[in-house]
Amino acid sequence: MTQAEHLSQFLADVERRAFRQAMFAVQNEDAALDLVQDAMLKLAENYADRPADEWPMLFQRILQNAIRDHYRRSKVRSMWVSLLSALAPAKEADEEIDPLDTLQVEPASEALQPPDEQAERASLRRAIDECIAKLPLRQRQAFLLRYMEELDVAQTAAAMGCSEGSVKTHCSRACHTLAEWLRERGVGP
Amino acid sequence: MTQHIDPEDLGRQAGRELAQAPLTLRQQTRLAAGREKALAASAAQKAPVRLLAGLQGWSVRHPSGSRRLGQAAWVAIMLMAGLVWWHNQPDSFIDDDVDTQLLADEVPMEAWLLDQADMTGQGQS
Repeated sequence: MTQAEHLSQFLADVERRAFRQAMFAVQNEDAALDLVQDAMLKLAENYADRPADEWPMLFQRILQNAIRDHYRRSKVRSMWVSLLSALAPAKEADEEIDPLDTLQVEPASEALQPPDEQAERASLRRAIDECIAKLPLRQRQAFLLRYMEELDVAQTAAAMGCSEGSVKTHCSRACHTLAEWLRERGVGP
Repeated sequence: MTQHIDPEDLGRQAGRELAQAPLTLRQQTRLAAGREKALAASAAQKAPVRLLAGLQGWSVRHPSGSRRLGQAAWVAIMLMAGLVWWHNQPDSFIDDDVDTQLLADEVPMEAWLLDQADMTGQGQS
């Protein structure tokens, strides 16, 4: 397998989880997709010749930095928007809805499951989604890197730019909050 | 869910659920397009980078070439030293007035060379 094929495989593996991370962080689908694309582009342009086992950490650092930059930019933008909002014309409410936006593409294995299991799983995911979205930023970041990206504590700390102790604390708090949240809603993995 | 669930296990299971959450067709299409763009950019950048990377370690791969490079450097230094020495010799100076006239095309080159030859002849006799 050539280096380009390795890179293509890596990006294909990582893009779904990266999108989930970005989506949790910015809560906007287009912005999240742009962030993932930028991160993939930066990795491919600057680090494609590095050993493949360095890519996961590099990609996480790039993505986290991109998310942080997005926060900074949106902070500045929101300041200007609030200043200029009085001058802007009112937005039209009749935006067209693209049916592709809401079409769920189920993986084959899941589509074959009985409908009640599918529904149960969907409700569990919804509950997890809601809880993770409500977590404080650093807790959510630590939780996603540690449990969704499956990085170890040291790698998570390196990606977040904090100590391993902080990662453990954030993860523990996030897990307890999640457990409590799921218990309250009567759903569980 | 039981009261005694391990938070780490819960985290892992939740992480797996999140990672497996389906994407819409639009999201899949956009991500695939982004991936293609990234790969194309990587391929476009590779040519000059590979050229530079090829130069790196050249002396290690070609020890005889490296020796020759050293010799060539010495020859170049000697040539430069010779050039500097010749340039500082008074014989090589051209009189500023003549130089100005030559640049202004006031004195034909043949006439100037003839004068120089005459002066040299007088000096010898």
